[in-house]
Amino acid sequence: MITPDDELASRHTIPRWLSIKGSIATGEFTSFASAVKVPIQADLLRNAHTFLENEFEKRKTVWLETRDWYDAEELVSLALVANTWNDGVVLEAAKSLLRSDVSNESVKKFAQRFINGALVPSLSALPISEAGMRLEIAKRKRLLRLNPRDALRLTETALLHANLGQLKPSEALIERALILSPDDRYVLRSAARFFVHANQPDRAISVLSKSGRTLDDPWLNAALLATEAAHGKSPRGWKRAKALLRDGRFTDRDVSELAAQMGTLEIDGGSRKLALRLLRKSAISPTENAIAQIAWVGTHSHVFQPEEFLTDLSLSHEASARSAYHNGAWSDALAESEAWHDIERFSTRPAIFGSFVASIAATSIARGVALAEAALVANPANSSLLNNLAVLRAYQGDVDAARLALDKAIASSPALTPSLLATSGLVAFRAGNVTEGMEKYQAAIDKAVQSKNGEEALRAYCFLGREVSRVDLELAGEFVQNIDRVIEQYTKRGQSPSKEITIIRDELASAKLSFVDTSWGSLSNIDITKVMDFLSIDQT
Amino acid sequence: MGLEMLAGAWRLLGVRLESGWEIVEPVGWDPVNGQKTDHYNGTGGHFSVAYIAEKEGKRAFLKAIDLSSAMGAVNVLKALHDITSAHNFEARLLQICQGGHMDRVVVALESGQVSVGPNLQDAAPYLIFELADGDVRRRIQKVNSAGRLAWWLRAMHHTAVGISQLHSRRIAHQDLKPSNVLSFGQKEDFRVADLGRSVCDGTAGPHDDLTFSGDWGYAPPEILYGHIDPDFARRRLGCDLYLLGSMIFFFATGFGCTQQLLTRLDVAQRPLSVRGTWRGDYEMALPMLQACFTDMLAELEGNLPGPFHEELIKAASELCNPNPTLRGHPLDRVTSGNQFSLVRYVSLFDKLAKKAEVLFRQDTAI
Repeated sequence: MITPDDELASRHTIPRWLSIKGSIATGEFTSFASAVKVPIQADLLRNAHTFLENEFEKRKTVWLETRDWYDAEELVSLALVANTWNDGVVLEAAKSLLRSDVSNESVKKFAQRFINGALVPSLSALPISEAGMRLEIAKRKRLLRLNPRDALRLTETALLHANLGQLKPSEALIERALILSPDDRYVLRSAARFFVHANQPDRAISVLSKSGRTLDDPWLNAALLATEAAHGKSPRGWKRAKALLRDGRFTDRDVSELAAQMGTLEIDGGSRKLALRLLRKSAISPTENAIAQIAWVGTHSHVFQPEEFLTDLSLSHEASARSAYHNGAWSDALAESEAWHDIERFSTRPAIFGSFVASIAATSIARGVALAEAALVANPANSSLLNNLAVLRAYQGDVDAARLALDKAIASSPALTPSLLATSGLVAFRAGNVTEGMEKYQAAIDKAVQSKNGEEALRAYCFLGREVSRVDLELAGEFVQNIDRVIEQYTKRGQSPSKEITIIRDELASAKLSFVDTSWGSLSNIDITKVMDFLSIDQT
Repeated sequence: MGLEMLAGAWRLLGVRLESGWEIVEPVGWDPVNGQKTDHYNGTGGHFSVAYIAEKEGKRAFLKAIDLSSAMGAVNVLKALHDITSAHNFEARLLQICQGGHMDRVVVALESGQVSVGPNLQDAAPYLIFELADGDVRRRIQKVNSAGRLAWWLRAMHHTAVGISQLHSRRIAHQDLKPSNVLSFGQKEDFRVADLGRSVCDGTAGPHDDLTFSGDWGYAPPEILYGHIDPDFARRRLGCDLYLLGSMIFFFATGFGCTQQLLTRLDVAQRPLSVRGTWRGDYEMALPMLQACFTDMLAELEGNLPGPFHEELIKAASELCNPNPTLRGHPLDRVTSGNQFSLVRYVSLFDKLAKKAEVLFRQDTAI
């Protein structure tokens, strides 16, 4: 049995750890003027602009007169600095360099880039395949030997290691980057995310608190507030954070995560009006993370609908995945989970959510397996992921692979959870051992009931219903009746069951199971009443 | 307009100076109308007129100052003052260099003043320099590709010596670039030229108040981002080290370090001085510049031959590091050392040039 991570008690704007390219696109690399007034270097700007303008015109005139290779190179080099590379004459000069026999390969390459209009940073996305990541790490080792002081590349390489589940080398690189650039936004936010991932939240808080820039930078301030809140610490520097929201040096994008985090904390604190104002501010030009945060708060607080604030949820794969899930659009939810996983490959959450979705829809099992396996590269001992993989493998009919994953999941888990027990039941069912399957499901329900988790008990019951109905469709009706009774009780209490309960209920009701197999014979030992007794106890 | 209407500096053709130099031909301009046709690099082109002078069969380069170029200025007196003080400063520096026996700096053979009429603008202060074959930017194209590496490594060696000689007298060149390194004679003989934009610690000069007096197309990144260190050595000598390292980039890739760096920056990351929109301080920009610098070193590595790339990359990395506090040889960046000492680079470039010369000779012998 799989549970969605959507049941998380809270969500905060813990920074995303993206590639440099991704962070630039998010706006994380924008600059802001220092809070301490520095006299504007008006003379410097005037001198530079006058020099570059005059020199550019001069070199342009000279090249137009001589059409000489030398003058073409002079003109092109100056245009690179004067930022006038799209001038028609410069492009003509660049073409002449490309044609010239005198130009060496490097000059020709440059000239070609000029002509292609590609004189912009050539940052590339990080590889996503395991082999690609290993190759990239090797390449970066060579680059970092050339310039060991490249803190950004150290941080990005740490991300590749984290994506491969190599936390020790990742941590070593993060520590080096922090020594080199202890105040850099990208380094600090990545370090905070790394330490949260590595279950060292105190270190995340410590590196952020130590930097003098955190108080003056809304991106870092948001990270600090979020990390503290996520780990049960009272937020510090609230006044300072509020001042940053009003600071004219920052754009709406710069403050979006800070406003989202503050809004979340205000909701938790019961200041609904203030919270809405903050979340609305966050939604003016939100980052992907801020969109996910606003959507999460909206969905879980029931104070507002995410769509009221956010015009385009599609800018966040996490928000889109959750929204699709709530709307029962399983295929979209899975696709968005896959995209969400692509931006934070080391994180378990997209894969846990995506594999859960795949298990519910039961039509994209292979994609769910691929997603879980991809996340297991970075988190090979994650019990939830292994459990989900076991479920999906069982659905695929690969009982051996399912058992292998389940054994690992049980070994990695500190306790035998209802989910693990239910999955054991599933694997037993799929192995043809119905009795054992029943027992395990019952044990799962027992465990859920013991821990007073009615929702989980009901979910286990639904999954049991799925398995039983595969064996004998006649029994599906009985399961549907029992589920309906529980749903009725939910409704009476003004609650609604989870989406997947309704889905499985409908699936059983329509008896359109996708994998009907009735080769297992009698089911005389199934004691549905006993299961329902447990549920009744829980509901009363 | 005929030449007779122009200032004295334009009418020196055929004039014999008291010292015996005869001015025989114009350089880079039309003697009929005074229109410029070319530029003789390494002499500074501001307000000056170039000639070839001859004496006892020896040819030299003469730079005459056009005092009338101040006439078009809004503040004529100030412009005149600027021109004369720049000329005097350059002449004074050249004297210092001559006294210091700087054999890798283009020094003046003579300086003085000549007048071709009774009026103020008829007078032309001048400087005579040894005549070079051309600057390395142009000359390198004439060197055959097999011997090119040895040729430019020797140019690097001589340039490092020249800059080191200037630094020994607290003179920071500030405008070191390929067009200001001149090549002399058939033998490999290179010298640093154009002290017109230099700054001398302890000697007041016309550029002392400027943030940067050299070519902005080659300016180090800290200057472009407005990070101005008040310390002479860190700001001016550190800048020279950067400009020297930038020559490695030029010789290997055809473009200097600043040009290579700026092409890797998005407009949001480029400083305001070069039409970007970056508003943060230099410290904030440094990690991003270091990341670009890594890419530049990787590209440089790809353009250097195997036996040389390791040491040259290391030198380029130390000389051009975007962080000015990290410039210079690591062994000299200690408390008791001189961070801006070029001694180790002089030895390095000499060693590499010799190695390349040997390899070139071996190849041509086969």
